[in-house]
Amino acid sequence: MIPRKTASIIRKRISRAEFLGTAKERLILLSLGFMMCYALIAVRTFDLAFIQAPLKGGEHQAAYTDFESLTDIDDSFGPTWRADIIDRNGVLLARSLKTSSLYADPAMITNAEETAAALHKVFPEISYDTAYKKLSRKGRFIWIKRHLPPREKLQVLKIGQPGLMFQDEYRRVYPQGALAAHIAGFSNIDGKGLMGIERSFDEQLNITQQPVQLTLDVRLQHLLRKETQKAINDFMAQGGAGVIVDIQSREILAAVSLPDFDPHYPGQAEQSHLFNRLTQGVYELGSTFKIFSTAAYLDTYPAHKNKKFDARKSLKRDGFTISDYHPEKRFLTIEETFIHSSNIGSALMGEEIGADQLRSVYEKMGLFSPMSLEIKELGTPLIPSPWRDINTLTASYGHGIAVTPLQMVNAAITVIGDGQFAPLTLQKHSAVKNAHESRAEYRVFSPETTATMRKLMRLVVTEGTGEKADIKGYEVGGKTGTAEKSSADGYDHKRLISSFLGMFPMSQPRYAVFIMVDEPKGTQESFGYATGGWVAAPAVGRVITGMTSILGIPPQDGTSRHGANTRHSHKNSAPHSDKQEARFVSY
Amino acid sequence: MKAPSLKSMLFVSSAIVSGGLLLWTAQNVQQKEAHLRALKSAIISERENIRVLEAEWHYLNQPQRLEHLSQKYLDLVPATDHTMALDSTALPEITSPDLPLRKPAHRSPLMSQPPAATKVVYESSSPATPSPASATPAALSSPRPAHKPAQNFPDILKKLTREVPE
Repeated sequence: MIPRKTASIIRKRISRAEFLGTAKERLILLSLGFMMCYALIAVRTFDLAFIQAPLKGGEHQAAYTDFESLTDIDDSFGPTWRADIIDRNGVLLARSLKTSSLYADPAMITNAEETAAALHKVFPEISYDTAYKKLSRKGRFIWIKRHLPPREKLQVLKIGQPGLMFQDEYRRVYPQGALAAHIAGFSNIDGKGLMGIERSFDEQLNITQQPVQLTLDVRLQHLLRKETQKAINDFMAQGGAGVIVDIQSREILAAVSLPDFDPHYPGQAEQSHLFNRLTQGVYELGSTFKIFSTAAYLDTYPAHKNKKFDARKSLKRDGFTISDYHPEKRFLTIEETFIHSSNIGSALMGEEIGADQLRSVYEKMGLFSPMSLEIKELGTPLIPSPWRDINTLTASYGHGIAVTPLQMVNAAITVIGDGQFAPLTLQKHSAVKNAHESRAEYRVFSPETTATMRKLMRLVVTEGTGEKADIKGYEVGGKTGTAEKSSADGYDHKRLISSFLGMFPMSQPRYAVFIMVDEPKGTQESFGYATGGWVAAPAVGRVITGMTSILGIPPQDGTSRHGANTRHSHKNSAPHSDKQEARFVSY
Repeated sequence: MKAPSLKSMLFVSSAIVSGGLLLWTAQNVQQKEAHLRALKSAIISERENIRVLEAEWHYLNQPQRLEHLSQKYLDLVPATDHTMALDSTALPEITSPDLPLRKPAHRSPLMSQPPAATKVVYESSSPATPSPASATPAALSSPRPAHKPAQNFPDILKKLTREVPE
């Protein structure tokens, strides 16, 4: 047996050895741990120094290294912006471009006084007090200035204030300026549409990146705007409106209302300039309405084609007197009534048609309710209520009933186009989708009525009030309209709405051109006249001339001015058939 | 000290190798991601630049601006209903190639005169006169200042070679 003392020594030794062993193991573990850490640090250092560094440094250049492999990249990344508005040929009418906007985080501003002074120096329009107030208020966000140009952004960066920050924003630009301002419209600084297509397509523009394509053609838009403006200037008028419509597709190719405004600064425009005379303004348009009453008469009484109307003296009904502007003082046929624009004849037609029938036809042509169009600035027609017998007579020659000019044009297209009513459109539908299939249309007039009306419209230009719109070779037809504006004491003889609606070629009408001038004054050149035939018809003629070259429309017949000379100048050329020679115009 | 067994050596070395591979892969992924980020931001910035340039292009091509510039700098006048023909077969044959319509005086003398039988169409206010001999119509607008009389071919050759050709 081991003595107790020895046993305790042995135990001590063993526990010491155990202790030393444990300590050694722990030291090894610890140093291993440190070694691992150092190894990790070493690896990471190596990584940062030799692998990552060249990569970071080269990040900028790396951008262009292999661009050709990027052809299949999709549009799913990157910022989203409000979609474009384009014309029928893809020309930009509105686009959002990236800009920087300056805001401050007042909690991070280190020295409000100094920063406010620096900001005032960069933006003189922001006073020191305003800037200081903004920078020293509570909260974490306050706009300083929106949409900075790059130069100003650089100057702000140079201030070196960490509390001043930038946010990328999109600003709406209108590369065509005022050209289509009323149709394309405008939006506010936060990208909310406030007028025109910008307003009516607001949600779609913000959600999808797909551009909204309009039926407008900026070339025609410019042509129409220029000629309408010329008519306004020449006759010292207040304003005007105009439209070009493709009769077959019912697409609006150009639409202007003058005076117009710069869509970048709608706030600076006068309220009257923002008003769209074409779609919002309702006017008594006068004689152009004779298209509708005559068509309604021909459609209701096809057998009365040769009827004559007594226009020998003014017509008296219910205490009203209806008289002619250029009294013929004889019996007039339907043709003569239309060509000479006889109010008496038209009123008698309306009387014979009857209130119910006339109202029904007007209603079918969409003259009694606001029209449907892709913009929201639409006027509501003024219809007599209650409708008395005299209203039937006056509505036959365009008085006592006020509609928007565009509505009137659409109704005339119904008569002259194909007798079918179809809504006009501003949005270009894809070529695949047949426009005829997609739109709601219904017949209003018989093909015979349409054919007769086309002839009458042509006669107005060849022999009647619309002679100044005649463009040889293009079979222009049309109707003038001159209406007195109403004032507190009845109609004012000096304040006119003069308009002309032209269509061509009348054998198969394709285009309708309408120009209206508000309060033109007679000039020396017009012998004091300010009627539709003197004011608007020449302008429509000029627009049609311009359209022929822009759209490349060949003349329709051999009646062009140089047709006769051509045969003689053709001796040396290869023999053409007589027909071809007759069709040859000039070059 | 006991030598480590083969098994444990294999174990340790495979751990080291797989660790290394992991590091290598991770680095590669990081590199590719950085590259991708750079490319995407470059694309976004380029796309934005293109959008700005497109807007500028359409701004510069405003019809009223083009009209003004063409009136200022070009001799061309707008086509009118006078200058529109029904179809191309109604026009005399154009055998003089690839030159825009312009006055005969502007033709380069280096171009041989068309043979007498061919017909050239000139833009003119009067109807086309097919014979080039009589084709000296008044221009629709005032012509440009006359070009310097061009040198004939021997002169050009002389200038180029500094030798008198035969």
